[in-house]
Amino acid sequence: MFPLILPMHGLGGGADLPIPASFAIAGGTAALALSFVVLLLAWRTPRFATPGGERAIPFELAAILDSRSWTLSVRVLGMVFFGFMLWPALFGPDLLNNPTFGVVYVWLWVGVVPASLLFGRFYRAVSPACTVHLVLSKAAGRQPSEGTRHYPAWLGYWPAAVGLFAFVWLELVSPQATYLGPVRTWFAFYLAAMLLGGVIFGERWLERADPFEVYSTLLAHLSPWARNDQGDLVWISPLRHLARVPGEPGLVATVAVLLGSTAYDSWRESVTWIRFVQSGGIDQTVLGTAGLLTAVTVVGVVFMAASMATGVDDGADRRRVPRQLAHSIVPIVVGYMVAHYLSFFVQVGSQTLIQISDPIGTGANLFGTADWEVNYWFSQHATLLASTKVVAIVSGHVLGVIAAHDRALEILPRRHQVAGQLPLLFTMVLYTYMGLYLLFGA
Amino acid sequence: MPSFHRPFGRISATAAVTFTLALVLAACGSTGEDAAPTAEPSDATTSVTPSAATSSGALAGTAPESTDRGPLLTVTINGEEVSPNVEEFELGTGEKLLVEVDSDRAGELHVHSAPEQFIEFAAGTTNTEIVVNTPGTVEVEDHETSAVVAIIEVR
Repeated sequence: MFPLILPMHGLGGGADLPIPASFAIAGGTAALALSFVVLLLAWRTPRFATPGGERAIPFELAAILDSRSWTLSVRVLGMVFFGFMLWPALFGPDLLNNPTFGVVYVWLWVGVVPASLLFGRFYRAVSPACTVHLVLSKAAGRQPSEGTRHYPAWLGYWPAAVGLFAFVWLELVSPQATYLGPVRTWFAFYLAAMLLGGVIFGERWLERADPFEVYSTLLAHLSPWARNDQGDLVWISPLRHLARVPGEPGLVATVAVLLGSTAYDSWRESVTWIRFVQSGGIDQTVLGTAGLLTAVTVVGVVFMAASMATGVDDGADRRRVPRQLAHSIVPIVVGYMVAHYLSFFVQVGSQTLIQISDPIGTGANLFGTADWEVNYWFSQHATLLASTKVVAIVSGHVLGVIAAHDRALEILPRRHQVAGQLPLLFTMVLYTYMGLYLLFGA
Repeated sequence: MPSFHRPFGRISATAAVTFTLALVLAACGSTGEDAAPTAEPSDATTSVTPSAATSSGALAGTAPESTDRGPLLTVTINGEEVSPNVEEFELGTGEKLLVEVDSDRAGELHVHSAPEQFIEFAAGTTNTEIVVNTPGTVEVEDHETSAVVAIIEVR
C-alpha cells in the first residue's frame, strides 16, 4: 500500500513573501468596486463593437512578417526545437534535472503568456502539430483548412477545455508529474489527437481543440497584433481586440479551467490543504482531482449564474449570455498567471536554461549555459514581488470589468444597464477577493 | 429625428453608488484586523524529546515548549509514518532552526528554500540545523515519503 502523502517535489522552490495581507486584500477589492463606478459614470456607450480602430502596420514591417520566408523560418525553428527536445525526453535520464520538465511546465505553459501577449498567435506559428498537419496536407494534395468533414459548430472550444484540464491535471494533481513516462505519454496522445483531428476536420480542429493553441490565441487577443477584414496585419488596442473573441460553445469552460486551475494551484500549497491531504484516509490523487474539479466548476458555475442574471431582454436567450461575456475572464487569467508564476518562471526558467546545455546528463555544455547560476532575483526582492502580484491581480480584474462592461452595454437594454451588471460585478469582486486571499491569506 | 435620451436611471445609479460605498467601508473596516496571516506563536517551537543520545522509538511529546537554544523541529520517522504533519515556524533570514530527526531508517530531508538544501540523516537520532537566507515560504519534507513535516515562513 503506497503512502497517502503529497509529493512536494518537482519544480518547487520558495514561494513568496506576503505584504500585510488584509490591507492588500481589502485595497484590491475596493479598487475593483471603485473602477466599476467610474465605468458607470464615464463609459456609457459600447466602444469596442464599432468597426475600425485599427492602425496599419508600416509597409516594410508587414512585408517581412507576412512573407513566406519569415513564416517558414519560424516553423522550422519550432520543429527544430521540438526535435531537439525529443532527445532528452526519449533518451535522457528520468531525473529532475532532465530539461523536459522545465521546458513543458515553465517554458511552454508559463512562457506562452508573455510570448502570446507580445507576439500574437505565438503557439500557432511554432506548433509542431500545426507544422506536421501542413506537411501532411501538402503531401495529400489538399488545403490545410480542408478536412474530411466540417468541424461541428456545437463543439466549439470544448475539446480545448478538456485538453487544458488534462494538462493541468498532469501538472498539478498527478503524482507522476515529474516522471518522464507520463509526460511522454501525455504528449504522445496530444500529438496523435491533434493530427487525427486535423485529418478529419482540417485546420479548424487545431484552432478549437489544441489546448495550447487555443490558450495562446485567447491570450493573443490581448496583444496589439491583428488582421483586418482584408487580411492585412494591423495594430489594434488590446481591449478592442479582446472583444473579437468568438463567443462559441465551450468558451466558458475553457476560461474556467484556466482560472480555476491557477486558483487550485494556490490553494494546494496552503497549510490547511497539505495537512488535510496528509492526515490519511483518502488517496491523494483522488483528493487532488476533486479539488481541481471543484475549483474549475465553482469558477465556471458562478460566472455562468452571474452572467445569466444580467438583465437582458426577456426575449433574449439567457444561456447564450455567458459565452458573450467570457472573453472578460482572459485578462483575469493573465493577472493570476503573472501573480502566481512570475518568480517561478524566472527561477525555474533560468534553471531549465542551465539544464538544456546538458540534455541527457552526460556533463555536456552544448550552449554554454551549464555553468550559469539560477536566477533568484525575485526571491531576494520579496516586497517588489508581492506588490507586483497585487497589481497584476487587480489590473487583470479591472481590465476584465472594462471588457465585460463594454459587452454588457452592447447586449443589455438601456434601462437595465446598471442594475443588470451588478451580479457580474459582484462575481468579479468575489474573484478578486479570492485571488488575493489565496495568495496572501491562505 | 431627435434621439431619445433617457435619464441614466437615478435609482440604478444610486444603487450602484450605495453598493460600492458599502464595499469600501467594509474594506476599510477590515484593515483593522490582525495583519499577520501566519500561525500562532505557540506553533513556533515544539516539544523537547527525552534524550538526545537515545536511538529510535523516542516519543514526540505533545506540549509545545520553547527551548533555550531557539526553535526546534523534531521529526519522527517510523517506517512510512512521518510526524509532525506540517508544523509551522516563523524565522528571520539567517536565523537557525534546530532539527532533531528520530528515524528507523536512513534518509534525507529536502528543504525547499532558494537554493534548495538537503539534510541527510541515519537511522537513530540526528541533530542538525536549517538556515534560510532568502525570504519566502519554505517547505521541509521527508524525501522518501514526500511527507511535508514543516513549513517555515522566513521574513
